[in-house]
Amino acid sequence: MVHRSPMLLFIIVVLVPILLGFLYAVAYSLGLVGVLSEGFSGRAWLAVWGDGRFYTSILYSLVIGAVVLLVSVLIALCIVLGLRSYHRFRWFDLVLYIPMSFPAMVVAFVVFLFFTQSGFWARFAYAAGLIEDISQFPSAVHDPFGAGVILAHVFLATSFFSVLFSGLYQRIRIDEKLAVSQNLGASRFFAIRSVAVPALLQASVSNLVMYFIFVVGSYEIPLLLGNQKNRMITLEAMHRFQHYDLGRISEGYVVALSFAAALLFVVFLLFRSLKRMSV
Amino acid sequence: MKRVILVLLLGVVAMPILYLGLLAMGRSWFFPEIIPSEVSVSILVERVRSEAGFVSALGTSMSLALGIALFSSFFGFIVSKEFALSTRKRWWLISVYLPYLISPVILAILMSRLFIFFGLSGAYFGVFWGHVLMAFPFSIIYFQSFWAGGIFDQMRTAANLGASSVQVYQDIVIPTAWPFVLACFFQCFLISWFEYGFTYVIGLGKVESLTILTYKYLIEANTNQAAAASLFLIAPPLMFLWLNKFVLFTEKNQ
Repeated sequence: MVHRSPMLLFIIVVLVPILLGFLYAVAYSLGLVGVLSEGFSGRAWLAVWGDGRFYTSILYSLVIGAVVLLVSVLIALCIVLGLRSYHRFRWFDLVLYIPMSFPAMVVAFVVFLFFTQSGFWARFAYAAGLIEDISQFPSAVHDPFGAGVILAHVFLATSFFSVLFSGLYQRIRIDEKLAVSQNLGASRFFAIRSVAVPALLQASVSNLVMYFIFVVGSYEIPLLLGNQKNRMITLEAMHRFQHYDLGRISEGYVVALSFAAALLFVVFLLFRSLKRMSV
Repeated sequence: MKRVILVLLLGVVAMPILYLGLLAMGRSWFFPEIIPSEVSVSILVERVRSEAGFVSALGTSMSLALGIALFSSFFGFIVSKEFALSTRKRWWLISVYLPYLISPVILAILMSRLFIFFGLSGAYFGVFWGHVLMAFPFSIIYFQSFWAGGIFDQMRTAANLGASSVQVYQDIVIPTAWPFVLACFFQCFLISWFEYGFTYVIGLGKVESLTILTYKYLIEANTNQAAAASLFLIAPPLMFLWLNKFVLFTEKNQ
């Protein structure tokens, strides 16, 4: 046991506090503890699970996550496969890395600066004579479709996937695979579509899932750019958690617990399928 | 066509930095002007100096990030070895992925009562611990690829040839692990440096990091100050990137 003592550090510093936190949150959500506790009650769980806004916020978060993933993976594939000739330059890889130097808060701020009705692009459009009044500029901030949220995430995610695919390209020898398929008579486009793209996507399945989870659980970007009507799951949890009606704190716990449980399930499934793939 | 895309790409990457720079160093920027009428570095310096909170937020963020990076990369390295050797590795890894993957804000909500109970809510150490909850598991996951790289075989071989355990660590493990530890240090630094959700919920605004300050400026519609804070937020990662390029270049030349 002495030999295993470093493990204890992880258990004491990370695992036990998190488990205690979870247990407390469960107890609080069931009305067992807390200042306003009135004994066991499933009120908070029923209130959240019976509330349409809870489901729309989950659905909204999932849709935003899916759109971000789709758009950024497409752009990243174009950058890595289409601009192949530039990858021999080190500065090109450096450029791909730069967006990841931005914290989510700053990315949200930048999108805000560029895409509001008094932002850079509105000024540009006005100067170029494309619009006669700022109100004509389509704002991507606080819009119901989450365009600003998606833009900000795509900026970050494209960088991440470009760097990832660029590394994989060399590691799983896409060049050779493409050459073989072209020797066998495939056109370049066909070889990219049927060989390179599936190979890259398959090799990055776990990263795709992780990034999807990251987007779905993001906070700063929807906080600054999101719409009040359509809230992402993190904002929905925070909204209930910080509600002036203290009785609704437990609802915040329910939203957070539901999200965490769903996440644990996804991670578990991912590990199980990865294990099967490796067997 | 390729060149057009390349220019577009460079523009998308460079424009935010330039624009933030102009905002932070500029004054009197009214619609519909595209560039502010007055731009100078002294304006930025003045902005940083005039706000008492700015320098202290910078100090708070820096000390948090350095402390987290040191703690997580050092202990993460030690603990990750036990993970790699464990027979129940899969279960351990699931337990380590959860705090790292769960949204910081959700994790903070779930743990907020515990932090209040320990008197750590609104305290520097509370925020420090919160960041450790994310950076420490990350570092354990990160080092798994190091331990999977055949290092145990090398260690066994050296031991069989008569090396003492001190020699094994001094001459084999530490030199091989060094680049991994350094990269992990930078990553953990950035996890803490970029963190907002946990700091906000647990710090209660009393622990004012640079991200908290940036948000405060944003809701005050103080865009120039927010841009100045943003510049400071992106400076360390850009510096790491530049350093990394420098290291890669020298390695290649050797």
